[in-house]
Amino acid sequence: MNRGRSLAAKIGTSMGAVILLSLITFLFTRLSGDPAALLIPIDATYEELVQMRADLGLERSLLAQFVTFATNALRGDFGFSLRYGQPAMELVLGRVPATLELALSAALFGWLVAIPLGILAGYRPNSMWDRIARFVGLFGQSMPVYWLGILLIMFFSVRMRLLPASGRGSLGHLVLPSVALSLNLMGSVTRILRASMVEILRQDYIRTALAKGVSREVLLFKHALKNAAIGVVTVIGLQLGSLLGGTVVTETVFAWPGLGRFIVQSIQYRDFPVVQAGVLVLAVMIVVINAVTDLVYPLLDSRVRV
Amino acid sequence: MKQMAIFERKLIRRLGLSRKQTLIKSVAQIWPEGSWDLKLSVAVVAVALLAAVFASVLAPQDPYAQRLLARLKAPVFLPGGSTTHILGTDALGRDILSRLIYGARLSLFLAVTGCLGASLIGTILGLMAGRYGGWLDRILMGLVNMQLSIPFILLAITLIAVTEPGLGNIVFILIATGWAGHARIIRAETLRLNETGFIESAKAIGQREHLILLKHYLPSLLPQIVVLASMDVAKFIVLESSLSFLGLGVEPSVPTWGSMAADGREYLATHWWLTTLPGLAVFTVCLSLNIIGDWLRERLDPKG
Repeated sequence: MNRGRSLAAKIGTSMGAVILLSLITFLFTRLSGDPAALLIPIDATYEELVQMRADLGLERSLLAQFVTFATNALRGDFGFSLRYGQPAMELVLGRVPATLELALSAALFGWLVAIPLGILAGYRPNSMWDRIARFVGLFGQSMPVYWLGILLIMFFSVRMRLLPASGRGSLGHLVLPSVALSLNLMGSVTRILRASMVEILRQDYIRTALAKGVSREVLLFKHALKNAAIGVVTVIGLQLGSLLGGTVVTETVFAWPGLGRFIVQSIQYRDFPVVQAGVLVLAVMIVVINAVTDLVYPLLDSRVRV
Repeated sequence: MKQMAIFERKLIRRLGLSRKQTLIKSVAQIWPEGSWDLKLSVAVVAVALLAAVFASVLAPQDPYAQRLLARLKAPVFLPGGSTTHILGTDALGRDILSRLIYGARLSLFLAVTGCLGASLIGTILGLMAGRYGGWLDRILMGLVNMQLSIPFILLAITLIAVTEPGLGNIVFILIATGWAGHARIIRAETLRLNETGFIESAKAIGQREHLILLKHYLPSLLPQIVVLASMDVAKFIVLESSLSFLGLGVEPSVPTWGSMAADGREYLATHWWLTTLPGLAVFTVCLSLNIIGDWLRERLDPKG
């Protein structure tokens, strides 16, 4: 399969994921009984409820309803927030920058630790660095993000009074949430990088380079690392996706005014138009990241470029 | 019953032991070779399992009973603690140790059920995709890729937002999140098996299709299934507790590790143990499961 076609297939899959998710959101509202009741304030009158049912076209077929929902969604029209009375999409988009800021700084912090650690651990298996890497990997898999967040708040905010516990504003506000959010990513990138370094250092061309008398630095950075990067980039897309998913928990713990916390609050207030818009915006962000990963990948691997 | 015996023998052989031994005997044999962290992990998981199974016997108090006169009592190891409530009480005066024990029951039940479901569906679909290929393979793998690009939490939020919280929903979400990973790995392994000699031979002597699947594919896939399952239980415990923490899990009054941690957040500055203890339970159990999972993978996966 050539590159253009495989890229098209991947973007098709990602678009499929978004459509699937929107279909699920749509079907769930219909399955839950009366969608009009979900989409209207609790204190609405009976006349308003009847009007809402007519507006939603609930007497029409399910397919016709989905087409209306999808065309409105494509125009960014998810209706009005029940809590704020403003267009749901506008409210959701207003929360995106805060989430991106948090996700980006968490990803940078995670890579900053994981990349050197993974390389060192793979280069020297069973060394002290390898043991630290194993610990980081296990820690990242086993630590619930909310609990790490609470521990960080307890230690650095309540006891030491060093950093703010919640909210957004200064650079100090960004530190604790980023550390908490980065942990999963840090663990998995460390594990994957270590494994691919070990695998690559076993290859014949490494032995050849060593026999030729190539220096350790050139061997490590030029021969080994360049090839390990290919494996890492492919998983980074998926990792960033789950990192964005993780913002939901982290933002709730640290009262970070982003998209994830907004969605959780909207569920508690049964503000369904906002939940729908928010989930789809997050999903689209993830799809875009996946597509970017697919574009970067061939730049690193010349075998795919042909 | 006969299938189980074949599975067991296969597993024992992969673990590098004689086929005549039973699983329990072979565990006893490997035990002395195990490193200290592996032994500790097995002990932690065993304790959690015991707590889950015998919760009603082990719990010293009723986990739902509220005692407003005994609110926010300290654990026994802190000043002001007493042996009536070994780990203290929460804001409604409920016994924390009892709630932790019942929380173990719920966490493990949900994680194991979700894992069995995900494993069953993922294995069947992965096996079919790998064995029969064609349009079936393309459709299934398209679905797998879609599923893998939707983070778990979005799926969970969408479902929870419109339905009532409940056990069934959580299990459904866990299965819906987990099946794709299983299907992908089982498919890859099945594709490898397709090329091996013993599958060819079985076909050549005219063995029937369902017997080939049951007797040749399944036992050879077993190591992968076991390793994936052990990792998934840990993952699912974290996921379920995160949902409970967000208030999107089971009903708020039911004791779960995640909701206990969330309840304690208001008392962070003064009563640190309220959130620390349930979080510690999630962390230690998952860490232990992951250590066991790592060991199983090293031991069972011939590719290392």
